[in-house]
Amino acid sequence: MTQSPHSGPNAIAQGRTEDRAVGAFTRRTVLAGAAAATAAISVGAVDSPASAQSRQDMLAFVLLSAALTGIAEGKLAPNFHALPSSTNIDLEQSDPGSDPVDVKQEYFDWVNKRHQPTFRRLLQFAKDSRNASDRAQAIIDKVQARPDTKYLARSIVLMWYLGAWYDPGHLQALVEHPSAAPAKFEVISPKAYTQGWALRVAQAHPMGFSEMQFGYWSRPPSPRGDFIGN
Amino acid sequence: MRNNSRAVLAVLTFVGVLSCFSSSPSQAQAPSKPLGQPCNLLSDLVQANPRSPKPAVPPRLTPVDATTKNSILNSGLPCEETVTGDGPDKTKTPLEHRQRGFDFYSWLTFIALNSPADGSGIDQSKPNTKTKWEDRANFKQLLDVMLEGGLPSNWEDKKQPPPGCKSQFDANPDMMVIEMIEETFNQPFKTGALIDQQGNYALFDILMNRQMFDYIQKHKLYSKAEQLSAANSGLKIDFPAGVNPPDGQIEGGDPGGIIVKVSWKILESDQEKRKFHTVDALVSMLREDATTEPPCLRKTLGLVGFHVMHKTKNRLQWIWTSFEHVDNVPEKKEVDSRKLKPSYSFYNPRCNAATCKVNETPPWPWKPEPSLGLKFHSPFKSQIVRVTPLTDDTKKMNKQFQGILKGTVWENYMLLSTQWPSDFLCAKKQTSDPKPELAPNTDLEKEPDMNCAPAPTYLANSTLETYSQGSVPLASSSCMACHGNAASYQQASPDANPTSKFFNQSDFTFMLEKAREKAGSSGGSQR
Repeated sequence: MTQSPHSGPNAIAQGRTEDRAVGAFTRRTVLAGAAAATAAISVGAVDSPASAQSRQDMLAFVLLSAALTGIAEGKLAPNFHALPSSTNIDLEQSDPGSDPVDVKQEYFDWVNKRHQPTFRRLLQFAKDSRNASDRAQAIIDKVQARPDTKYLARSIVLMWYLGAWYDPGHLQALVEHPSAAPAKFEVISPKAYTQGWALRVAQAHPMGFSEMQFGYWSRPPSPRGDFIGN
Repeated sequence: MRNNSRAVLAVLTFVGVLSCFSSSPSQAQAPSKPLGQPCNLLSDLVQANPRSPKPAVPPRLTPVDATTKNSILNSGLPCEETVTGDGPDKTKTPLEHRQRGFDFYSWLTFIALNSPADGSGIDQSKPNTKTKWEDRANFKQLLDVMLEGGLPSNWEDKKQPPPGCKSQFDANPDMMVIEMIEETFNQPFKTGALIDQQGNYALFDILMNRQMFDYIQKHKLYSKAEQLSAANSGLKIDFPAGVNPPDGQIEGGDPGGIIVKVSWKILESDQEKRKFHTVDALVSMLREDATTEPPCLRKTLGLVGFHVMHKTKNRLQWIWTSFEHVDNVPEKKEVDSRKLKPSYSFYNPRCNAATCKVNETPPWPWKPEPSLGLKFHSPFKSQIVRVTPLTDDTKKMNKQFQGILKGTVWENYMLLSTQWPSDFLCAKKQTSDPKPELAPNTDLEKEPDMNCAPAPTYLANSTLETYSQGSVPLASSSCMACHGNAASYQQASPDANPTSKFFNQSDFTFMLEKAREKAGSSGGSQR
């Protein structure tokens, strides 16, 4: 990743109506997310069915997610290794990364369970575009071409940033009928709540969960790059 | 053919590695040698070179069986971990390979620290054989460092028992002395006491090695006033880190800072005493007032929990090892399937869930009642269940090590897991302007995750973090996430530049909070 895809002309968050829809996911939503996370904690973590995906599928999911979120692959999936190089990715050789939190697996299972056909299409976009000169843009161009992939991709962006699931059908309804009721969301799990990227981009941490150092509040935040890798 | 040759070479080099760090049972380690001299360089993978930690190619697991038993049991203390993200099982992730390496390191550490203090092999141990960590030449109890009056001390100083225990101690100075403070009976964050099935309190104690002691003495951190002093206002507390000798050498390594935290069960029957590692101990009860010396009770204690915290140069967030006795508690799935042992130390298999509520804290008050000794004040007994099961890989490794410890009480102990910082670059990051005199120069400003991605995310010992088991973020027990918040009494100097950064973190240990007031000051004793 060399540039945030959101800064490009075809980025997902574009247009007045769409800006408003995306802009709804702001501080208030995050605060609501915290409350929902508390509820989620009380009922236990999300079910995680045995994954049927291949290693290549997970690699594709990481590439897709990095293109959609603008966050480096190695931050979304610690220890991700593109081999033989980041511009010439061999899906057989590359490593999707392993880390103790492994929220990517939880997210993969979540989407795969609910929207498998469209999700498979998105993964194929990432596989097909993995060695494009501008990988992120190539993926986004394909994603934007169809409503089903476009709105599922938005749900995936929100999932990474907020740790919550916004159904793509609701997101589409919001765009097509701006006066519709705000989209409902579901916090995916306590783990997902702690891993949301929205607050990391803001060089902060979710309410009630911090891995930051005791006394950090008395000092200016570390550079954004330390948080998101870009 | 080529592969076969490699395999033979790998086995031969492994034998070579073992012979470098071992002696036969009859040629036991000399008792005078300090722990970790030389460093144990063994790893879970057969090494390519006996004096180098690099694994053979292709990777092969180090056998843990009768053929390697004597060598492993006498291989000594690791000064740091030797792990790689590789292994013969290609279905495993690099994280799983490294976890296996850390778990192997933990078993080596457990064996080294619990080997007899007299230098004989652990396979010669009797239940009450004094271990290396119980030997005052190797480890000191926390309250023998944080002295009354905030006074300095020397490593060679003799143990000073509380006055109430003095006569008994003088008659047998080899006895363990446990001085009761709140942390002796109450779990972290004051979450509650643990009461065994005989109605006795479980007891907890903390010890440190010489490297820790020397750092505390050097910076006068044994005294609350000295921690608060202007001289210490700019100190970034940075305990020494363990380091292996330079590649290819035997000498030149050092284990760095090691802390041990243990939990004890009071043993009353001879049958019980055969299953545990035991110590003959004096327990000095809580002080009730300034004028009356608390009573001193003589007890046989059985080891039920064993934590090791070890700072190493590549894991500056420390490595966290957790062992416990196999009969402490059942796992949840064993309870659900009713596959239970006849008895446990902290669980009654004959009591139903409505009567004996699982993982409940005892009724108040938790403080021992002086007239009852170490018996709890009510009929309550803890009904503890392990929430997070051990992984299959850890169970497999436990079986192997328990196999080579067969015939000793140490076969009754199991590794729960090892927590380690899994983000490599973060974990070994040193400060941007390292100074030779300040080794290891730990980067104390790392953000946003100062714990560098602990693996596993959660780890709880059923006797030491009983009431914070599970996987709820920030609520469930994580060694690093908890200890990362440990602080000292340090204060910023009033003259300090307001833009300069101030740290009063205590490098992942809460020990410094036990520093005492100076004699005659208004704060009084913390005992």
